[in-house]
Amino acid sequence: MIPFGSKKGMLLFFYPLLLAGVIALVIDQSFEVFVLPKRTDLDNSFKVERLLGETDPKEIPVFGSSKGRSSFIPDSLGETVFNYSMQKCNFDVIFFLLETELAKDKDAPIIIEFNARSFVHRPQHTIDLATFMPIKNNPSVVEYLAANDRLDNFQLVPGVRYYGSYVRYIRSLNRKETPNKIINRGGLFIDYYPGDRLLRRFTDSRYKMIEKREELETRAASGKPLTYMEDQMLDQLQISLDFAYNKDRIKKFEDMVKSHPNRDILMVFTPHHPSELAGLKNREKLYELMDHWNEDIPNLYAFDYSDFPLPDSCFKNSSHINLEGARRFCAVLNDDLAHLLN
Amino acid sequence: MLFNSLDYLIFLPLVVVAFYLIPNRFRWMLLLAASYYFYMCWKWQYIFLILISTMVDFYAGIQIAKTPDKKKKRWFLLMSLFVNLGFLFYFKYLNFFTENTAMLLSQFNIFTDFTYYDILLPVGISFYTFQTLSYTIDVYQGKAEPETHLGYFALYVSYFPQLVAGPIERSVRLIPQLKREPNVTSDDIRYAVNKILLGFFKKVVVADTVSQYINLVYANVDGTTGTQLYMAAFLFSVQLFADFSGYTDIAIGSARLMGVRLMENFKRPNWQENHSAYWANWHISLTSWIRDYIYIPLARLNKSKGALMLWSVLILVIIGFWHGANWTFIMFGLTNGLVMLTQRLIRNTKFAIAMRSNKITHELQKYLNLNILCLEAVYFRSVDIDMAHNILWKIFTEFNFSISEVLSLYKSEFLMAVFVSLLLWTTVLFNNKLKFKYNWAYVTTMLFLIIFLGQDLKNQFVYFQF
Repeated sequence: MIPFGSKKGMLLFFYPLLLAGVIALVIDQSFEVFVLPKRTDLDNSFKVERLLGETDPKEIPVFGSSKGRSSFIPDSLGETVFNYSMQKCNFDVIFFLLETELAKDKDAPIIIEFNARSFVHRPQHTIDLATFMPIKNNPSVVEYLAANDRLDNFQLVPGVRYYGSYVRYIRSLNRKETPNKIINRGGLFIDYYPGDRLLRRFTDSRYKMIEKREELETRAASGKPLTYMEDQMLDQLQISLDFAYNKDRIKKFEDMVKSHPNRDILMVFTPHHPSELAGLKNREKLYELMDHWNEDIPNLYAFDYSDFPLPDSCFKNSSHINLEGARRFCAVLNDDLAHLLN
Repeated sequence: MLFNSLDYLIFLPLVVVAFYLIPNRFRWMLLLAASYYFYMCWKWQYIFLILISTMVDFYAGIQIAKTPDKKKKRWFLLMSLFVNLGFLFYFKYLNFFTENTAMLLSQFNIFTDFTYYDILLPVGISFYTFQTLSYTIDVYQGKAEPETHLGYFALYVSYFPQLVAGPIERSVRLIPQLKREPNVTSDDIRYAVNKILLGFFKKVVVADTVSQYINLVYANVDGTTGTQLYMAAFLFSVQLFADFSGYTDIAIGSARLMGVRLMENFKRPNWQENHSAYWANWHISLTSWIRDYIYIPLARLNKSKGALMLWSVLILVIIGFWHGANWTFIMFGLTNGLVMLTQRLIRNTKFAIAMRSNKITHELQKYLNLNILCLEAVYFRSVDIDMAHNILWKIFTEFNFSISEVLSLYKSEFLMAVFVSLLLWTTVLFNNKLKFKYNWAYVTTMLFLIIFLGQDLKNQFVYFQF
């Protein structure tokens, strides 16, 4: 029995801390040496790192969310197109990508996928820190994360900087091309249709959301009180179903575009399943905005494919199109954009 | 400050080292300052609530013991109850009551201007309120001597390892331990370190990984099947256990480093033959509090068989409501109470006795009990009653034994959740007593798992919201 106050006792307490440090550093170094170099071009951090270092003046980048990742087939659009779209990526991230791209000395156009929720401002939900960990020493990355209150001190400490992301990175190494999974310069296209039953489950879930919103809005309008939970739910439903018209963010975006008249920006509203648009109450706002871009900003072009006719079999789920859907969409998109891309 | 943060990993060793560097008579000052700092890291203004509770109960305790007049004693007790429960009511239940009053009136076409007060719930208020209340009640009942040293009493109310999520300690157990010279041996240190590691493992590896699957499923109830919802309900019981017992493990380990033995809060609660056994082994410090200060006084009022049954259900409803001001928690308590009552009623039937006497059927009984608990916990996890009923309806009407159906959505999150749940099961089996021949191997393995599989350091403990 050694009393804690003694030197030996203290050592017993501190040795797990020291051991933790050693294990953390070993994992950290192994990760940097064995895992990070093997990232594929589907990995978010790989994409951002690539964008920061890419100097090809002809490269046409595509920015967007998972909708963009599964909709734009680079091979269909041109040899120099690279799809930088990432899951959960809205303008919280796109602003950074766009700023980086616009700072380059080039004239190539930029394609941006946008949807009803692109301008929602929620950095805590949309800026995935793991995306920026391998490039956390880049000054522009540090500045961007700090500006969005997303810079965690532990990200700068060797041993714990990748904490919480190891499994995610290792899992992403497994993303290899298979007969029904096509990977093409940052894009991911799945040859999969979930079946009528499952797709209906997805779409029904959305219709139920619409019904619920109607019910709550009607009740609130009639003067009957909503509980706090119902009030919160209504807010969430409105964010999820309507077009998020965020004046400040739209203005910021337009200013960025206007300040680089040599770069054409092509805003593309990709094909949506009808169930996803059914709850879009303020659609006219969206049309107004697109008209304004087309008419008032010479280098900003808006393309609306929201109602692009696709059968259910072209959808992976109610929010994303599948490989066949992407092929059909890109065939038309290529024709429409040809004069701008070449 | 969260236990699962880098801040705590720096804070704890600093406090422990300082604790052993100073003489015993000054240690309460260090621990009190550390405890207040620990709490103020979250929201410094709310420290005043703790200070007021401390002053009121310190004064009430002394006055109750000093005055021979029974009526006056009762007045001082009522003052303590009024202040502590008043805070609890204001911060936790005010909106619930005003909202439900407005809803009730609207049924009679009386529409009131219901305002939701934007009140931030002070973290751990339910825990420290119950802890400090037990002190004044014990002094009133003559079970405890009043504490005359304000510093030690303040430390009892705010002792950082168990301040925000328990275990809810009684003054007769904790205050003497805070006062005496700690006698901490190498075995205590090993135990404490192992316990802290186990707690971290449960929280950052198991609970936070499993919660990813559960959050996805609960965010898409209409888009998921009954089978997936059942899996989420089952895994939620794993998350809840890992999260809360993980916190308690870190609390017990941290206190043990400074010579304080906090009570065990969990004894394998999920694998029990009935709800009575479950509640006897789950959150023991709360259930024993409710037993001592609510159930026993009620039983003294009326001991008839019917009344005792009613009290049993009532205390589970109270436990449910203690968790949060929402009908879901009341339903959680009520369903638990009704099932417990049913189990008691059929306990001595021939069928039940036969079930218990056979080892296989006895294990089946435990499995069945676990399933019922998981279904009841749907109320605990749901945002509102409609959501809970929708989930339960889907589980009962759409469930089938199809692995492919489970894997059709959120496959990787589900597989990771199952993997870490199995890891938890293995760990609990192996380290029940936390004594190992090759302790370094245990420490190394746990550290590796925590660092490699651990999730983001910002996930709060589920029980912080209570």
